[in-house]
Formats: sequence, C-alpha cells, structure tokens
Amino acid sequence: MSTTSIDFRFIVENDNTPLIVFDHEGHILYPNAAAEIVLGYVSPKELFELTLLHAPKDYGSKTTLMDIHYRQLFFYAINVAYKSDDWIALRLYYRPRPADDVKLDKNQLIETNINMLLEATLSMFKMKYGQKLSLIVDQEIPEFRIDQNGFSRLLRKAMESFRLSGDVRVSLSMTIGESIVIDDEKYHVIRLKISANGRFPDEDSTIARIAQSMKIVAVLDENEMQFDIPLIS
Amino acid sequence: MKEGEDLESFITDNEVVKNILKGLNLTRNLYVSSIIVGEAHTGKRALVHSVFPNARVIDGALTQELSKGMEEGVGELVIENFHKMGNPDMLHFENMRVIAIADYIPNMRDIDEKFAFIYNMPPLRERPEDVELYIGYYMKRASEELSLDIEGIEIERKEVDISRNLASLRASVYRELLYRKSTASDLQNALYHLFLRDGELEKGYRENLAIFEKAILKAGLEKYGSQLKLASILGINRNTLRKKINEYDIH
Repeated sequence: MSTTSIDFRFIVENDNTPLIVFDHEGHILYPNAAAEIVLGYVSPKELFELTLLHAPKDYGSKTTLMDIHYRQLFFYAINVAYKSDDWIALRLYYRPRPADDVKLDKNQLIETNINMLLEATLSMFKMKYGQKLSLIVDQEIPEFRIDQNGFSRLLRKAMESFRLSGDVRVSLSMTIGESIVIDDEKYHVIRLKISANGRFPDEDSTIARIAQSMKIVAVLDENEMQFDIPLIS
Repeated sequence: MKEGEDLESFITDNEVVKNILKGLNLTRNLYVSSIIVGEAHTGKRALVHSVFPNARVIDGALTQELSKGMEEGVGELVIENFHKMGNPDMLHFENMRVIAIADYIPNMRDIDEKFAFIYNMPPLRERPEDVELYIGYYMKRASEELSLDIEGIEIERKEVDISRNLASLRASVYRELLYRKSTASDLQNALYHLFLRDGELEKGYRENLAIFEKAILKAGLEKYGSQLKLASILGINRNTLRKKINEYDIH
C-alpha cells in the first residue's frame, strides 16, 4: 500500500507530543492539539527563542536532551527541525511519569467549603508570621470532597515556605478545560496558587508527598507554588 | 490542681490568644486536627472547652482509653496531656475533629505529621493585659466563694505571682484578699494556730513578738513616711524606734 493515502496531518494533530511550527519571524503557523495546552503556560516568544537556540546549523533535525518545565508540564527533550527558511518546527517530549500507586478512597473524603479551610490556615499564618497577605478567591467554586485534615496540613506547610517572604499572594480559581484523571475518571481542576518574591524550599519533598497522597498536582517553583486539586463531588 | 480548674469560663484580652480562639472557631465544624501547646495553667483547657463544650475528653496518658476512643470513631475528641502520650503514631485523625492540649512538644516530627493546625499559647508573663483581667476575675470569684466584700480593694500586677501562670495567680489573689480583709480577731486566731505548731512557741517570747513588731513598723513607715512622726503616733521613744527598725532591717 502506498503511503500517499495516509493522513499524516491527522496523526500529528492527535499526537500527545506537542508540535509547533513557526515562520521565520516567530509567528505560529501550526500547533497541534497537545501544543495548544503548552501554549496555555508559556508564550510563543519564549518557545521560539528556545527553538532558535537549539536549531541545527543547517537544514535538518536536532534533538537536545534537557530538563524543562512549564508549570506542571515536564519535558526531558526537544527536537528542532527545518527544511526551508520559511518554517521551523519544535517538538517537546514529555518526561515519563512514575507509576502512581497511591489509592484515594473517595468515600473517606468530606464535602468541604474550601474557602473555610483556606481562611483558617491563612489566619494562623498571619498570626504566626505577621505577613502581608492578599487573597483572591473565585466565589463560584462549589463544595467538593477532600481530606480536610490532609489538605489543611498541606496548606500549612505550603504557607510556611513563605514565612519570611514579603507580600504573599494567594489565589484560588476553577480552571477551564483542564482535568485530573483518578481511576479512569476525569475531574475538573481547582487551582491554588501561592506566590511571593522568594520562599524556602526546605519542606518541598514533604509537600509533594502530601499532595501526591491526595492526588493533588503540585508544581513547586522558586517563587510560586501551584496546586491543582481534583474537584471530586 | 488540674490544668483548667483555675477557670470556670475562658476570657482573654490578649491578641495572640484571641487569634487562637478565632482559629479554633473557624475550624470548629471541620474535620481537622489542632494542637495547642503552652506552659501548664495558661488556660489552654478552658479555651478549648469554650469552643468545643460537647467534645469527648480523654487524657493522653491513658493509652488504652485513647485507642478505644479512636476505634469507636468519636467525631469530636479533646486529648489532654498530649505530651504524656507514649505512642502518637497510633493516632489516625481521618474524618475526626481532634484538639490536643500539650504543655510542651516532645517530638516536633510527630506533631508536624499529625496536626493541621499548631497553636502556641503564650504564658501569662507575655500577657500583661490578661494578668489584670484575671486579677479582677479571681477577686470576683473569691468574693462569691468566701463571702468577702471586695469593694475598694485593688490588687496590682506586681503583687501577684505568675510564675505558675493562672495557678499561682489565683492563689496569690485569694491570699492577698484574705490578708486585706483580716480583722485583729482573725489574726489572733491565725497566730493562735501558728503557736500551736511544733517549735513555734519554743522560739521564745521576744522572737515571737517580732512577728507583731515587724508588721507594725513596716506598715507605719509606709503610711507615715518619717520615723519622727511614727514614733509620735505609736507613742514610743525615737531612739527605741530607730533601734528596732535597724534590728529588723526594715527599709
């Protein structure tokens, strides 16, 4: 059978590996569906600069192994390819995740107003450290099921990593179009972000462990922590 | 006296303690674990009881009772004397509301692993506003319990002992009130019982007279200021008065 009848564009479109094709000025000519998710976390400009930095010297393709992440999206390598001066393509290879053997007993979770947990933890943090805090909360977040004690512990430890930071900003919002899969079921995502001009990473491994035990996706950066919480109802 | 028996109800004017109360109230309907750590007799037990009056209370030293309580799945549990618990690893706080009370933290790792909210209760020496508040509180209680008229009586902060927090403060307020309300007949009665004790009377007449003389000279000097005036008021010779002041080392 000839390969001419194969719809390569369809295959690329549905590939889980993000692919972006730029023109010579950095405008996006084509992103596949997986690349559109990446573009929600990083600007086209930054990706174009990365592409140029790792492009092969002549027409062709070059793969570079590198640890890179945009929020919770972790990659272990990129590939840059071009065969003309009019376009250049970037592919990003996801880092494989270790098997997640943590079981979450959803029946043990309790219907919770997340704002109350947040308020209690922030109140204790302010009392203990006297930090200036700003809080932005999406009031539309419905009640959902969570391990209240575990989540409060996670929050306490997360906040304590900002114990000597300046103004600490906390936001809680619903994400659109993102989901967390637990036992083959998809759940909407509540995103908690805590940021300041620096923080202590000393308890990051414990924070990551607690988050993982609750199926919360934690991204712990130098100045910011992001927790994607499954909205289990 | 057991922790918390110093108080019938919890009161505070201190901002840190008010914040602990606020934190406990915010979580009173949540299934989370909290611990309050602070020196003995700082009011921790009364504070917790004021927020969770219906919680089951178990002493942390009683391991069997505690593990039975945990197995029974008590919804709301107060663990007193958490610092006396032999094996905190046995505790599982899922879907429970637990409030622990500890005089100190034996192992920070255990606390950090188990509890979502950790509060530090300040001692009375860091809560001057509460010392004033509790002097008034115990004066009122003493007047009710001992049928004392306390009108016009003021006890200052420097006059009470807060070395053992509310336990010593309470004792010193009661003692001060008794001193101030005693009549001559009360004192004679007290001295009568003193002299009945072994060895007291046997100290001799002059030595025992010093009890009376020292008190009268100290109070007289404070009230009248000059020895000249005091000698005239007491009707004794100035030189005798000076001699006795020196003898008793009163300044």
